[in-house]
Amino acid sequence: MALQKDVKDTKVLVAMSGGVDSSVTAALLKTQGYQVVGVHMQLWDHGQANVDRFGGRCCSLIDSNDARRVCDRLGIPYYVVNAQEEFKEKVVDYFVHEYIQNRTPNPCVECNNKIKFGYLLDKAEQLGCDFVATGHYAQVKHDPTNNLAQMFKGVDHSKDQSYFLFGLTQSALQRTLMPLGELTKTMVRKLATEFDLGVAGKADSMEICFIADEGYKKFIEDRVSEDLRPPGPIRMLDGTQIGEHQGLYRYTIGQRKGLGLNFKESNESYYVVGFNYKESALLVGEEKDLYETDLIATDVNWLRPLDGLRELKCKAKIRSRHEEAECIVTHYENNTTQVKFTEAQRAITPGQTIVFYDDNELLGGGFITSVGAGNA
Amino acid sequence: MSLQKENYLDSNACAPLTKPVVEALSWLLQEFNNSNSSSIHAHGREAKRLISDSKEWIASSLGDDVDTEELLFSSSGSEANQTAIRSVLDHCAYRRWITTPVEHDSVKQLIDVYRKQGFEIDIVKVDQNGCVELDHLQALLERPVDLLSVVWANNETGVINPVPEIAELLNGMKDRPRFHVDGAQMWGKAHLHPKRHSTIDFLTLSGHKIGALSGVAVTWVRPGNKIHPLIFGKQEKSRRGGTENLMGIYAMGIASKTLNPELYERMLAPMRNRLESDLKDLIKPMWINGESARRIANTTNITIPGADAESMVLSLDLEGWSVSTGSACSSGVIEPSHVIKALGHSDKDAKSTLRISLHPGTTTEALENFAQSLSHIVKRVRKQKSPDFESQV
Repeated sequence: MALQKDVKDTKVLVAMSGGVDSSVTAALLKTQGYQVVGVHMQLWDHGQANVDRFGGRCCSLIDSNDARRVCDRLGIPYYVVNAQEEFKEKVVDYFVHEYIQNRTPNPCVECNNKIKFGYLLDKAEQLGCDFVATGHYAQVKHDPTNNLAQMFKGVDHSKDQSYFLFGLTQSALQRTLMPLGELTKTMVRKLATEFDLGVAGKADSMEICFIADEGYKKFIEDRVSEDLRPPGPIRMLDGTQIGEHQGLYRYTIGQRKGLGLNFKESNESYYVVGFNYKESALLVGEEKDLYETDLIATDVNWLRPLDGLRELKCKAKIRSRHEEAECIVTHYENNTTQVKFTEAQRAITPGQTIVFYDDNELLGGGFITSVGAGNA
Repeated sequence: MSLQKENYLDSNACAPLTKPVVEALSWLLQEFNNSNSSSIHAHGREAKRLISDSKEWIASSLGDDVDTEELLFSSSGSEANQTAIRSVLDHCAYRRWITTPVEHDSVKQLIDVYRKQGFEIDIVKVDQNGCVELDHLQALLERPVDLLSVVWANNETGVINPVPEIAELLNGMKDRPRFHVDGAQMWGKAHLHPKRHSTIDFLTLSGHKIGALSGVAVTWVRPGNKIHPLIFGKQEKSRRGGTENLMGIYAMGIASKTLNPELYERMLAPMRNRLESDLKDLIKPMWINGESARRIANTTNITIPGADAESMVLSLDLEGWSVSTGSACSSGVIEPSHVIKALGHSDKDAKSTLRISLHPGTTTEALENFAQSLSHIVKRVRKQKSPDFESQV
């Protein structure tokens, strides 16, 4: 990273959603002496309906207005940029497509990779900004000795968002600041009050930002014709059909509810353990059938170059709420990665992301394509 | 960051207040006891006097044959446009309206409204500069129509429509439509004599386009045309209710007194032309929209392929320059201009288009600096998007 500029000559574009985290990010960087530019990305047009709802889905006029008022208070420029096309193509369409391919997508990861640290980084460069800053709870450290940037979990592990950031390239990391990584959520809310930003009491947004009240099922049904999401049989692993489902997109691996099955006398519960895409069959089994030690992942991104390392021992997370587990990662040239866990893990789900950690450092991650050892 | 006048190049969105206006308003603010012109007492009469004086000044600026009775105040060009249109279309015989594809948004919004009500709305063809094609208009006029709406000078490109020629076309028609002209960007840049063209029925004008306050507008209404109020009340002879915007009206009156189209043209056209020639040298490729048409002196509308207008405008703002692109919606997002699309350009080109509009406070030096800034920004924006762009052209 060749940046030798003074902080006061450094321009930082802060991605501002109108929420507490990004507002405090902007305020912190301003007090540190950076030239801060507030940018709100218009990603999705929910229309007038949103104006009437308090704290509506992302990209409502309320959020934009909140972000603007924070910038008024901080005395910094505020812009709204139009990223609707990119967002629709790279996040929303991807989301729908993944479900139809019977994978459980992670749109927040795609948004980070393609929009926040893709489109927005490009925009920052076009505007002559040196960095993009976000309110993510993760730490980015720039190592001046070897010119490399690294990512670590946020100190507030309960709020850590590093899992969603595995896809950042080294080049993106070098131009990224995440000042909240060293703070806890409580501290951040306190700062919001101290800075008098007016958003300290705002609720965090929890669900997928572009899906309003309708829920993801209806979202997909509205966009995909029925013949692409047909009903089909529910089968046990031995092939016995025990019921019917209304579309594979309605299920995810490890799911127990919503199967509509009549259990026999036994007290066993059944879980979704897999999909047979060709026959549109939902495969169910028992709890024990959900455990596997191996998986294959592709499109693996390493934040720091591996330096020819083919095999490494680390910990991996296969869901944001999963507890990291020890594994051995074998990395192949065609960008495929074989992961072998020391202990079997529950409900490994194709389409989900797997993220690798070395202690608190985020090494990288990729997308799970299949469960089992397979041929890499 | 102080907001400098020399760096303000967005006059068509809102012109800076003129010196006479500022002086007159200072007097008004300090000396005048604000009052309601409907009040019978001396203070009310004083307010009414200022309004009448303003009407006289405005009437004079539109020709010595214009009567103060023919003027109607309102809050904005948008209200003025929509009042005129609705006064005709809500009470018409044929339910047919002809307008252009390059109208201001306040007119454009009503196209959908009336279409949904079953009106037949014909959009007359325009040439590559956005000028009405008279042949096509003539053809459209062969069937009965209630209203024709045409913008005189386009707010985005500055291109001037042949309003006198269109008025002439209507002249001698047996059952001619009402003719509504949006003159907001033309006032002060040319001498307007609406009454002399016997077929112009409504001329809408806006305060903040001539260096008066925002929030005020005036419509010249040819006698014989009935105005149906949008807001009922006794003001403006029961044509537009609501306590008048006294300060706005007075500012507009003062501004209208000091309009000098010849001086405006003499001061600004050379600077605009010089800017265009500098930009052509510094930035390649690029083109000027409406270049070969008659334009108002202060406007230049340029398309810079390979450079995103949003990025250019924001970059310019960060360096202290104020310019514009196409219309912005309420969330503040920049949308591609319908006007530029109407000239036959693609969405992509429309999204690479800027509008720069000068005013009497603009200096040659500022424009030279601006050209350099823009050139440097364009290089940066183009390079980020497509690192080989420069070598491809």
